[in-house]
Amino acid sequence: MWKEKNMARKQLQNLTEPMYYVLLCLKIPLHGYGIMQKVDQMTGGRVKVGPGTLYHLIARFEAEDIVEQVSSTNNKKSYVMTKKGRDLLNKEFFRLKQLVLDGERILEGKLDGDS
Amino acid sequence: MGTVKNIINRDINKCGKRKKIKIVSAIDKKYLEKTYKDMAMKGWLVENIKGIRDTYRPIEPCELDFSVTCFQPVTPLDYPDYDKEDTYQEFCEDSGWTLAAKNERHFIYYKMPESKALPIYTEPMEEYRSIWNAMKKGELVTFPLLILLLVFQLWMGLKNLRFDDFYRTGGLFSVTYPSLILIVCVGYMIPLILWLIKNRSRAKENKPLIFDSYKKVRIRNGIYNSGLVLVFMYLIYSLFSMFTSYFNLTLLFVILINLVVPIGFGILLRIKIKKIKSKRSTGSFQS
Repeated sequence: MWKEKNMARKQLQNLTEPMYYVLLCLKIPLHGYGIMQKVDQMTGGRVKVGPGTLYHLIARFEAEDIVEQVSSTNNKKSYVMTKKGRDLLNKEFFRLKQLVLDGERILEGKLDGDS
Repeated sequence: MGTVKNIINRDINKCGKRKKIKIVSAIDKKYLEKTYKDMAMKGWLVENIKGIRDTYRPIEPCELDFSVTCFQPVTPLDYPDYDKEDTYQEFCEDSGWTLAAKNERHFIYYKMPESKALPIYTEPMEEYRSIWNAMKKGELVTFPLLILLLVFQLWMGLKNLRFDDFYRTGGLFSVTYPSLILIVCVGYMIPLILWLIKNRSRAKENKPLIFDSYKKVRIRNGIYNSGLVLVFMYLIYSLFSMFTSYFNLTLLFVILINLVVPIGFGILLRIKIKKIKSKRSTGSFQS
């Protein structure tokens, strides 16, 4: 159990693309199929999350208190991001932003003394 | 998206049901998917998978796409988590898959070929993990244990082997019998281990997992099943020849142990499982 949790934590240090988009969707409460559709819309079909993959991602997020189940209407469970999840997403967002800024500086010659 | 339910059923009273035996491992996904697809084309839809027996119900022949997934594998001694099962089912059915059958290890879904439902697993690592978990509670525990027992049996046989055993009918039984079963077990384990090694690195690189083709699994299973039949025949032959040509108490003991112990163990396990299940249905910890 400890090993599993530790492994999950290690995997969640850097989010994969599907993880990142699933968390983005869960800024507001959404059920499983809603998440799959929203990820597809958000990415223009570039990132797809199948139901099995989504189930395991949500299970791992729930175990780590990153998302929580909020309601169950019409036998459909809805999930939303917790404060911990929001912090994780913000951290990842700034990490990615930093990567882009660094890339821009190097590739577009914006680095000091590069011109 | 809603589930696909426009399968036309045939009269069950006229056609009856069909049963088929299959021996497969957790990695034989493609083989199972093709088997169920072929059966649907012939007008039979899998409705129950129990142990090594599949039951099919009659439908109008049609083309269906199947997806065989491993989900939260449970041993008979585990307490199944129905809430997790319901969530998994909800996600799959909402995205366009219909559940055909399930057991403690596999969930079998189908969809119409024209349906745009996403594959159940879009991340190779998640799929790899689900299969790994299924194997961890199955083949990866039972077979190494069996192999250890057989190695011990073989070692005992070799230790007690005498020169005149080579000239006696059945004298080598205590060596040949465990050796044969050992070959069958190792032969079964090797493809599993190779699959795990090969696909672990693929999953890490986010590449789709590779499964053995239908033909390859058929050949592999054919060899494996023939091996099992041969071993069983050898066991029966040894027992028969002992009563007709010679009598050896030690040999009789070895044969009986090999025949009686697995059957006895199976019966005991069945009783134990029945007890646990009846306890669960009447007990206070029913979810």
